[in-house]
Amino acid sequence: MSNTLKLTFELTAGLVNNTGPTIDVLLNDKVIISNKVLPQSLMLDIVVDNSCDNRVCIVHKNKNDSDTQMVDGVIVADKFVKVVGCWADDIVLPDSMLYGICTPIYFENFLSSINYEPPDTYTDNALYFNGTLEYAVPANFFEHLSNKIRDSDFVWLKQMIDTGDLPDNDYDVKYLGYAQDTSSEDLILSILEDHGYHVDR
Amino acid sequence: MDITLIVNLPRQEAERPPAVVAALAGFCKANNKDYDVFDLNLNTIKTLTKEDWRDLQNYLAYYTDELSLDILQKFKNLVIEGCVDQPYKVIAVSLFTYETLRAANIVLPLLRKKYPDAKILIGGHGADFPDKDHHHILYYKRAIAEKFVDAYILGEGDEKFQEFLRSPNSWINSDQRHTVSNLDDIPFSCYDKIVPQNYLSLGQEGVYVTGSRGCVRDCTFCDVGAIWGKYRFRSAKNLFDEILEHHLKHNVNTIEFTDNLINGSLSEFKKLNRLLATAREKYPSLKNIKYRGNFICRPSTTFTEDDFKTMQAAGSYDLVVGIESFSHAVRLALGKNFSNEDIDFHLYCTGKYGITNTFLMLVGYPDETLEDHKINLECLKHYQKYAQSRVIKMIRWGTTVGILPGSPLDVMTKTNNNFINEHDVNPTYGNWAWVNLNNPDLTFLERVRRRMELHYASKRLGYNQPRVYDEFEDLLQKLKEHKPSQKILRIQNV
Repeated sequence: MSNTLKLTFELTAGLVNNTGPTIDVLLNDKVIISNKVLPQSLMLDIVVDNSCDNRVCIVHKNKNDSDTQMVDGVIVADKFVKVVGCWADDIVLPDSMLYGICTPIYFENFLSSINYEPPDTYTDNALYFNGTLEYAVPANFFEHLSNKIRDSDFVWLKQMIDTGDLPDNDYDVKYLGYAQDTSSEDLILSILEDHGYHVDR
Repeated sequence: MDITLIVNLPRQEAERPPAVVAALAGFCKANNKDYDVFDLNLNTIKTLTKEDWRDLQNYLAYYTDELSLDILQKFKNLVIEGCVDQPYKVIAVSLFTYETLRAANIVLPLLRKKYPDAKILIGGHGADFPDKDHHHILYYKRAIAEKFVDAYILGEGDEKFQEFLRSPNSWINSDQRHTVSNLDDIPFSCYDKIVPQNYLSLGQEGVYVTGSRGCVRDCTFCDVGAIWGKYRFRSAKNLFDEILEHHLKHNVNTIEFTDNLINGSLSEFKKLNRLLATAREKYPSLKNIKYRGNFICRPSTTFTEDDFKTMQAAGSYDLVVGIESFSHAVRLALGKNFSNEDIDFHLYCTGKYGITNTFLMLVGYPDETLEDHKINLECLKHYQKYAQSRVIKMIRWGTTVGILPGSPLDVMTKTNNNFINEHDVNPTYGNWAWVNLNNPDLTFLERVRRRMELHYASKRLGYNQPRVYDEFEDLLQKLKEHKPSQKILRIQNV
């Protein structure tokens, strides 16, 4: 039985003179889309093997100085690619997952215009320079997603408990549903067993 | 000036101001009557320790018949301290469900003592519910006999409460259960004195809104039809106007519908979504509005992907959906005719547009076979990714099928010789000791066995399950009372 996962990226692009940025898309270092000139908005579907880790890389290329237009020191048009939505098997993912690792290729003009050292990589959902925007897609993606959501919920719960802001001590029980162990469980099983009713756990 | 005191009793959720209190406040306002609010439920939750509140809840919910004198006194003190020196003319006590009755038994005598000249009125679903602690006499009858109260209103009290307010001294009690035909005529709820920000909402301040009463379905296990009668709904415009008012006046962004289903009238529901989505142009702050409510799974032909998209644009973020069973045969038997493909479509659309679901399920419907139970277990695997991604935010399996008084199943079993009880059980809270002789293997113990298997399967597959503590306490109590019928054992052995 195949174990594939469909990823959908919603991309928006900055256009200059009605022309969008050029991108490649790589899946695990293999080019699957080459030299695509983006329209203002595009939905991109990629099918991956969910039984192994994957990497999706969006490469922004061929941008040059004339692709950033300025008037009186203000950028009025600029080529960029931005990920504004992401779905896995048509299930919308949290906004936090729109952010990947950006590795930009800075223009010489840009580097000489600044007096600080820009980062080699940073976390973002957009590429305003040439460079790559990479997403790690772990194997068994939905299990990973479930753990991520659970961890985030627990961090939040702990924060609320520590600050005393949790208004309802049964909050998890009622509204999150993680607390699923109770003292009565063993008694229930024991009574059932006594009457010959076996529960497959 | 005559002042009315509105009292809300535990136990209830306190995430938002109680809907009935806001409704009664709205009636007071519409009739130019001044009022105060005493939300004893909220006070109790905020004041008692976590352990004391748990113990009090166990007592109020009838999980135990014992309450320590210490906690009882603490609760009484809350009542006494909360009763201000004010010559109230009317005291309206809401008995929201049967879980307020034990509190009522404590509170009403205290109110009577403190305010001997006030007219004390009770209403709500608990008012004509059998009082388990007093030979199951209907609560209002005992309350009148014991002189805890002067008046009661049964059924829908919207019009009658206003009548009472206008002339409490000439009120005549009636055992008639009242109904209201045109819900658009009801004054809007009022939150002026029950500030949403004081409730336990964790920054998501919200209010309850009621768009309809009753249900468009007649599911056999359900007593909504018996309680509410004919389905009635408000016009989309009327509902929208109320939501807008609460949003602008009280800065609330979360709307929780109290309806048994928000999509009963599809035309008005779609209209409401369009109104909410398009009004953002005129009222930009409406983009923060979100709403949740009970929802029935509809065939994709009647509620399309575009409808889901508009729903999301209107602010829908969380639905409670009565799926009941993943077996189509069981759903057909209980009166819900949507297919598994319809469930797939519902999950596809809600997943795509970021709307979460809590699935309400039934275990042990009288026709449920072992095969149907296996379908439930298989579908838990089939829908696992929706649980992992929290599209199915939670799944709730309940406490196995209890036959509720007044439900179509109740009527069916009384006229059908194929149902027997394994032993006597009080049917008030649902008869749980029944056996369908056409399906004799489905005893109470088998229903609990299946319930536990579904619990473990759900847990193993990563489904979140709410209120497991309450449900298992309920099951354990029943198991302790249960006496398997020798007659059933003989039938099974044949």
